[in-house]
Amino acid sequence: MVLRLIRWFRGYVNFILIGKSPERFINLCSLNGINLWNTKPTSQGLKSCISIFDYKSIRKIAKKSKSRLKIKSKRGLPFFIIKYKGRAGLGIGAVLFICLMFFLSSFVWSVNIIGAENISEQYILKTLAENGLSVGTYKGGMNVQKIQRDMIIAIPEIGWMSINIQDSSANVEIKEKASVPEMNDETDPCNLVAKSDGVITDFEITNGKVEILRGSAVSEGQLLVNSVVEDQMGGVKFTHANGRVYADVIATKTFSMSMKTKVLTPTDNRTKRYSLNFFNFNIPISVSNSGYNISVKQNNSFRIVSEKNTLPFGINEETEIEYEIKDVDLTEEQAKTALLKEMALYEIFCKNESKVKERGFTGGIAESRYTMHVNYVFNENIAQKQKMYISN
Amino acid sequence: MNRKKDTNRLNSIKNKIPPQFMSGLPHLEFLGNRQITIEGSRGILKYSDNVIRINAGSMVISFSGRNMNVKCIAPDCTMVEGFVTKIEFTV
Repeated sequence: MVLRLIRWFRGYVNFILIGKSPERFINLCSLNGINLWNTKPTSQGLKSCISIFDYKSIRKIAKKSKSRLKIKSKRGLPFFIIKYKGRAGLGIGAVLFICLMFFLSSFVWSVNIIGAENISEQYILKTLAENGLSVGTYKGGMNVQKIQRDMIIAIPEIGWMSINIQDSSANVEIKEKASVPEMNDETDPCNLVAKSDGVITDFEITNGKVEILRGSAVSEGQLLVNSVVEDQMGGVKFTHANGRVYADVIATKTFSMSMKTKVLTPTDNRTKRYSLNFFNFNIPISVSNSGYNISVKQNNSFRIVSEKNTLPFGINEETEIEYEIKDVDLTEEQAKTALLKEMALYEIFCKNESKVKERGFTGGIAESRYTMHVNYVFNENIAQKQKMYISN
Repeated sequence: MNRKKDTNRLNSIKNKIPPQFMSGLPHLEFLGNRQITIEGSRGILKYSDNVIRINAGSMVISFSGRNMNVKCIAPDCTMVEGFVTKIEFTV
């Protein structure tokens, strides 16, 4: 294959020898160090191939062996160049294409993150860029080992990472560190006490002596589960009391908001700007000054995607939207609806471990504010650990 | 003095070469009946589709068969290709 390629690059002639003594021709060629290949005998003589540099010298040999030479075909790069001599653009284009291909393949085109579960990919990409690996980085000057080390130091949640440069893609494989479970020191003796007033509805005790009954009322700080346990022999043992005590707890929460409020609302004024993205460079296509006092910018990036990889070319669209501050006078109904939403958020986020058994609210306007008082009955775990200090 | 040194060197080279290569006889290497390499050939005497006759100095070797052709030729080496059915030595 290589030999055929070399012959094609040097150029060769496919010729027919017509004569009575082809043997003499072959012998003379071999004695003169002329290389012939694909030599096949024919009825009139033989056909063979020869390099274009040797073809001139075999004319004399053919004359000596009383034979005639006839060119059948001319093959190879020199003949190809002669054929397309008038079309220099083709050659220049081909050379430019090869140069551009070599140039572009020496940069990182895409960075793929594999194995990130809890760490944000955007955060990893940003940290990688700070450490010298991003789309458009020159592959030759990259120290992969150093980037790996720096990344593990920069993001402590990464346990192991490997950067594999495949063609023009950088595949970053990450293994996150397994979080160390919190160690509960359950050897010290402790009691369970009530953290709020309530009526006991249920309890699940795993350790300690239960000091309460279902339906009994407890006050804040009251002993629920005792750590001092007596055995059958009358001995005393100090344990680490553990368990859950559920009680109905009455609670009141007040929500309030002003009837006059300021609201940010978008206007119809929008300004769009486009830029051409090439690797990490942004070339602006359109420039326009908006002059908005308050505005929000939205960025959309349109990229060319080839199979798995995103190519580093595309168009960025930036939309600037004007906002204005409006003074709004809320009605009683609007204020109530807003506070009901706030109440729902309070129940979801602040009392997520409690169950709402009853809920009643009253509201009214006072001093240009709408105030809502909500009376809750929560069913929640009121057990709280209290350490015991034993002195000898 | 220099001539003596050269003779010694030539003798030492000759001693390292196996004796069968120094006898002046052609060295033939077969790949089944499809390819034959003849070292020590002096030229081709007959070249056709069925017969190739090669001058090997002290003898003439004739290869008969089908689709016979000379794959490669150098001043002292010839490679013959084809389906060889008969080899004949004329001394």
